[in-house]
Amino acid sequence: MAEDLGSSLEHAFGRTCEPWFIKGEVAPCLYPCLHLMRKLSTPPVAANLRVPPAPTYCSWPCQLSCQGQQNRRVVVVDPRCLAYLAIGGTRRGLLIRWYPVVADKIPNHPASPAALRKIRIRGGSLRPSPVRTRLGLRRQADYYVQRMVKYHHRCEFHCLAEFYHAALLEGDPTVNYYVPQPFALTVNGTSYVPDIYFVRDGIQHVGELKPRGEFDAALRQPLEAFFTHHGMIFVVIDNAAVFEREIAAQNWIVIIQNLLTLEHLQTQDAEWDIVEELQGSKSLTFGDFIDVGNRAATELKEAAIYRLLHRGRITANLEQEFWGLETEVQLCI
Amino acid sequence: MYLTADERLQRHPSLRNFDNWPVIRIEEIEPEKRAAFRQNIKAMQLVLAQLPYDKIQKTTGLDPAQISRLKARALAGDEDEEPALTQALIPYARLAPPKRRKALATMVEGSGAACAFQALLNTVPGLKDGLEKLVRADLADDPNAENLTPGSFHQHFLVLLDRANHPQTTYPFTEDGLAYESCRRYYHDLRDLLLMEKSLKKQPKRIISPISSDFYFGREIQIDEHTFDAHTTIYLQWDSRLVPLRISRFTVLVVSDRDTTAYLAFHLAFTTHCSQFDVLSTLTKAGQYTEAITPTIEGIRCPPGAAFPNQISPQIARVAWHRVALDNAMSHHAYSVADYVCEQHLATLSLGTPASPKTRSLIENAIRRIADIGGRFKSTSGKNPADPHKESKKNFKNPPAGTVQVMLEAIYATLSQANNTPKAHLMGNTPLDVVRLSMSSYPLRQRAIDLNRTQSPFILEKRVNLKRIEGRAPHINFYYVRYRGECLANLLADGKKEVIVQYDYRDVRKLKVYTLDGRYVSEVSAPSSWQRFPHGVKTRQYIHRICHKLKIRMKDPLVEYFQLQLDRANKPRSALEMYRLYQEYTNPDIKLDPSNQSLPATFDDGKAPSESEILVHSMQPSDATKETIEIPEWSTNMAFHYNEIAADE
Repeated sequence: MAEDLGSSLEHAFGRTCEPWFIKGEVAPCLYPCLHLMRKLSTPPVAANLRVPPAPTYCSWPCQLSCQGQQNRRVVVVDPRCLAYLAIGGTRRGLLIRWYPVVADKIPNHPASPAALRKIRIRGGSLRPSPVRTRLGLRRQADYYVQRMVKYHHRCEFHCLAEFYHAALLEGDPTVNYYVPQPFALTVNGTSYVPDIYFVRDGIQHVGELKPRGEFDAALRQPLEAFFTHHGMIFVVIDNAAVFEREIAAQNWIVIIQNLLTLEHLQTQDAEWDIVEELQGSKSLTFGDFIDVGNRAATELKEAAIYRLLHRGRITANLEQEFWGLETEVQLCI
Repeated sequence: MYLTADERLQRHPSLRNFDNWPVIRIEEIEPEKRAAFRQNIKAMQLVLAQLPYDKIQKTTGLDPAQISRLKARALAGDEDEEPALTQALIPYARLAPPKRRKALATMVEGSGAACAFQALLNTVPGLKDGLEKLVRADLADDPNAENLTPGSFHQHFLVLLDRANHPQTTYPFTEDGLAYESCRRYYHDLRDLLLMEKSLKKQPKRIISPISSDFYFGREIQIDEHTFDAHTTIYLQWDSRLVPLRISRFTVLVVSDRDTTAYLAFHLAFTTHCSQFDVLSTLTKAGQYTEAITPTIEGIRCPPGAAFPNQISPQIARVAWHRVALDNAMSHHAYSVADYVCEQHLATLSLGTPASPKTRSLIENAIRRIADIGGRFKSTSGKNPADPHKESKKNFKNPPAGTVQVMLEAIYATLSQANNTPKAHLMGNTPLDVVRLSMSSYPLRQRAIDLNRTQSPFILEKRVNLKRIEGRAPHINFYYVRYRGECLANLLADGKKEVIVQYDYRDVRKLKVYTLDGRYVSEVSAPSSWQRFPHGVKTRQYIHRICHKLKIRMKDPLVEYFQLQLDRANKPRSALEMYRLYQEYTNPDIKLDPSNQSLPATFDDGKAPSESEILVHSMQPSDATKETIEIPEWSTNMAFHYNEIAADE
């Protein structure tokens, strides 16, 4: 049993697991703890803690970090600051305990007040409001500007992936609000503006889009702690995941532009008409509702379709096909 | 592990059937080797059929040793490597790269230089790596690297040999050229190989344009500007003779649609650096319904009917764009441009990454077309200082024959021709046909007519202070000039200190005054000295700058500024500015207030001036102009009148 545990610990903690560590009897509660540790573990950032890269059992996107090894004790902290795990050893065996967060008692912990104090909010509060892009960045970046619907103002994006991501959020009925470039922060003396803030299912997220999902660990760790402290989840999104849904993103941009163009129309009756028509025939194409030769005559229906799509009442195959007259629309089940 | 021919056949029994061997077409083999090749195939088929060698010899004429060698050549070899098979049956075919077996030649014992260079690379420590490192550094554009040539590469080769203590009595020192030719060939081969490696490894750093996209009119509109590569002229009538004046190169702006490859509009900006308002003028032109024009210049022809999509029908002109792609020029970063694109078309503004013109290849192609027109004029500035087509010194002294109108119509005709030419990638349709087709096959978005979005992009607003100074009427300071109006006194009486003024950037003679809560009050006017002609903010800023610099005060600033340009008309840039002023003073887009009698709409003869015959006026004062000397009609001789008046006084 001790050997099994030894190999598990070895697997989880690499060289920090010393032979004395697994001598003697092992507390039966160790296995649930280890299971939790495994759930927590991803490639760590601390130099003195080595976990095999990309473990298959990792289902929770967070990082382990080792905060030091004092008095033969390894402290592993969940950076979401929910709890931390202390593994200590005596000559008689292992001692593993879960402690609630007392971040200020752990030296150099990213969620400790001393560390969080280094992150400054420029502009006073964390109320999401777009940070204007300075000219230098506008000229250097792949810069896009577009009025959106869920954030009903002009939005600035610094790359195509950011723009597509916002368009995909428009099509996500669980997201009801987002703000691009929401806060201006100073992290360890460096200016930092997150790419997007969005509210999904009532939970506030702050997102950063990066190629291959690679984000500087030195910046990521304090930011995760900082946003957790403020009740938000910091996520790094892989650009490739956005580009996989490129057609959907382009379709949603077209829908947004149409929604904005026809925003002055009252479409309540037209919406009911469309729902009734779809109930009768299950699936109709977009071209069945509009008259291409006389668009003005059918603009109410056109606006109604876009609004129903945006609200998630009707659906269409937007992931594989470009939006057009042939696109089939049907009621959401 | 090395496999003999029989072992290979045991491992791969399928090879016993010659039909399973790769086929080499007989035409691919040199004619003189074909007979031997056929004989070898026949022998190999008999070998695979396990006939005794003596019988094969009788049939083919090959002796057993030859048959055995052929069998081994085709089938034997390392187990991990593919056997040569049919390739080995080609007479004298080289199956493996050549390898030197003898020792390298020395002074005492010459043994030739065959494959000696390759042997050197394989045996001398650090030589191959050292040479590869040099080429890699060169290709990687390392700041400490050297721009390699075959000569310098050979020198490095010798240095590396020396460092490896290669004996001076051995190859390459036994050769007169010190293996220069081998070194040169190796350099080129290595460079090609590494370049290929680099291009294979190269991954796009970031994705800057859509990978897959739909196809319809207005999906992506591209716009760019280009300095027209030919000097042109304007004509000034001076004592009943026409004096041509050379104007500096101006800028051409072109708008095009990416999918249909149709050109939407073009605009000439009579300045070397175009501004946001030139970009806006071009964009508004592309989105307005206009009538097709017929070129007036003899020799310039364009296809009948519409030249641009906005001339086909008002519905097509009203199509809202999906995305507008611009480059990183400063004028494109203006908020007014973003306003126009994002509010009027509700489209995406894409400013792209710096130095990546290929993402907007279509517009660059349009620029090339226009540059080609410029190159046809003798007054072309050429593509570079050494261009043989560049205007000669002889011609430079005499202003060229090409006028602005010729340029204008030449560009119009060229773009019209391009829009009406069937294209292979459009399945034999013209770009304008595809635009028409898009209207019926795609739910193109139409711009809203109502709402505030249709406001001209040139209408701007500013918040200003109300001024009350002792002994002066209440006024507003706006671009160095005091604006007065009766409403201002009332506003001050109501306790207002600030108001919002709305103005047209191209004509700031009058301002509309609004209170801070958005209520329209009235209009205020600039002093009468600034009322004569429509003039923009830019002109006023120029005039103010000159007055400030020369420490002068102008009685009639608009005319005196024109006179200043006229005095320096022999300078192309001043002539260009003069032409810009002319355009501004007679801008037909600005709706003049008919009640204001002082505003000129015509020249002395009562006709509206045409752009080609600009500034055609006599410098002699006429009776008509003398009569209206208080507020004279606009003309080039206006400053002359003032001088005359000053002399009389």
